[in-house]
Amino acid sequence: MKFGLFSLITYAGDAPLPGGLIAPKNYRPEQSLESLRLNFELFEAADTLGFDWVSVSEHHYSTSMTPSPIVAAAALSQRVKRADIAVLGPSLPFLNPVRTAEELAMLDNLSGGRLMVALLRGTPPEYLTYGTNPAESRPMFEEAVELMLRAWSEPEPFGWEGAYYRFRTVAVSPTLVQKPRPRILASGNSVESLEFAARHRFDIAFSFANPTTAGRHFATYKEKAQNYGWTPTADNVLYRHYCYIAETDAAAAEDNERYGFYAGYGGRSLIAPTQAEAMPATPKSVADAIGGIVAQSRDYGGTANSAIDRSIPPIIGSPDTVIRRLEELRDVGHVGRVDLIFSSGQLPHELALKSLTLFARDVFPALQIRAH
Amino acid sequence: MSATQATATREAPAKFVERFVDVGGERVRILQAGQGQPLIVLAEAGAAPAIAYELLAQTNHVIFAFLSGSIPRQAAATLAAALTVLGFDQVAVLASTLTGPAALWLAIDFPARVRALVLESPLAFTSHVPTVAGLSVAEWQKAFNAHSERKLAETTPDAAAFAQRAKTRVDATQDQVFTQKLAAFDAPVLTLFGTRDTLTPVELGRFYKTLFPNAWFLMVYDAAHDISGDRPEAFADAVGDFLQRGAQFAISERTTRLNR
Repeated sequence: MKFGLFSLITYAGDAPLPGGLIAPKNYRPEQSLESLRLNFELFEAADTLGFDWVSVSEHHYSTSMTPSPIVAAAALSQRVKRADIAVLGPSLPFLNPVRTAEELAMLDNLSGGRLMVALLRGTPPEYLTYGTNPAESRPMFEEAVELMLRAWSEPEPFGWEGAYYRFRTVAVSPTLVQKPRPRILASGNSVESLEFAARHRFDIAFSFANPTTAGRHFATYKEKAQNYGWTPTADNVLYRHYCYIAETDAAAAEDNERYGFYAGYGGRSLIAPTQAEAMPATPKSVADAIGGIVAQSRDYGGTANSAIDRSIPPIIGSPDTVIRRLEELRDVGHVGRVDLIFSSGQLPHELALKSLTLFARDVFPALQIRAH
Repeated sequence: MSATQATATREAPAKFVERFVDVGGERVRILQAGQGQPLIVLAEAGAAPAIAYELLAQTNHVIFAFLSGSIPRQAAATLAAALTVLGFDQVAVLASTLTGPAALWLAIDFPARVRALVLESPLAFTSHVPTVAGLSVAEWQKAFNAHSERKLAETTPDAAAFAQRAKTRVDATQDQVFTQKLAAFDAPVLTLFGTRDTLTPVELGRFYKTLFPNAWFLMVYDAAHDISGDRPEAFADAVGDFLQRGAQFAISERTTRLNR
């Protein structure tokens, strides 16, 4: 298996849990800077410890400080020297696909050919940001992907007459370092998504599913890929979940409880909260617009998230327990790549670093197939 | 709003009127509609103006010219003579698939007559001729159209007839002439290829782009070989804009202002 460290680069103030949105007035510059510092320290530690990649993703109007993950990844590319730089990913319906292709190509250059990228549709709260109609997100996404692939591969300038995008002159420079292209991932959360990934020979990525569900996803993906003349392996499957590792199961459970490590996606992180900075919950107007909080959001596309069982517990425990959980994901879920969140809740930074270190010391020897 | 700002919409369909032109003893069938700058569409026997051409006829004088015979260079000469009879010194010319070779000969032998050239999925070089033998009817139709439901009528040619036409219109000697002489044709050229075309794959666009000194290569998303059938509004938008503005079509004139 291969392993990566994912971080939302969460603002380390006090956000409501889970999945709270944060208004600009609630950001404190000094805490933003501190949050960046600590998260980057964690990324650098992961690189030093032998993680195969570090990853960031796109979120808006939230406690995540990566509305532009490519900007974050560009910074990471200069500080993380060995591991791949994963942008998982830009949400294409919100973005100009040519600009995104250009920026990712530049990132591939900045990182010396270490770019990995997931091309995604985005989640409902993000649709507040740029006036994108969520009902059109799937066809926009599919067209944007095809346009980006052409932009990366076509040696001559060309025009594009699409259903959603029109460009008369597309000429991406610099070109990608990796030929023919970097590792590209797409959502593996629905049958439609799996079909799309298989058709384009993309890897798939999904989060939080239990091993049985993951295995079903893989079987569907494999079947569809074979219809397109290729056979994916576990190395084409990326799985994301929270991970906390301590010397014993009891110690890990106690820390998880004490610091609300797995209190919810997008929660506070790294710095203990103070009552004075408590932020309001998601405004009702916004909650109504998006159909609820993030994890229970309305399914605009008809299929998003429908196949994921979010009740699967995070990967928390002693090294043996964590290894056993990961082996189950590997053997039952056919997962070959695991993207792990090590900082969440109010877990002190030192404990996040310690957990990361224990993981490298005890899990890597048992499971890691080195990519580098 | 100028015509170039308008997205092509299907309003009242343009009515194509039939006439015949005598050219040196040969009777050339014409279908024409619309007013404005003349656009000659090189048409195969049996072809009919589809939605895309009705849209183009809203701002152009669209003239379908049905040229008999299978020798592209002769067809080009006949067309040049027909233009004189019709009173046109210079026209825009649009060729699709296997009428491509005749359009290229026109560009070589009568360059002054061609104001602009539009090539839709052109098939003019021997190395580009697809193998259609063995394709089922369904496979053939899928290669031709990604969205046959958008067509007004079934106009997909028979695969065997297509292959026969390819054999008579494309040859290696002609390849050489095209490669050597089209570099001198400096009128603006627009080549369109569909991203779902399996007969003339979209990658061929780069070849045509380098063949001419002043060419634009446009990928039409979600279209197969018959681009004007699959994406009629997109086709009419792009071609119409190109015909009106030439190279300037690369610069958008569409307003992005919502309100004032």
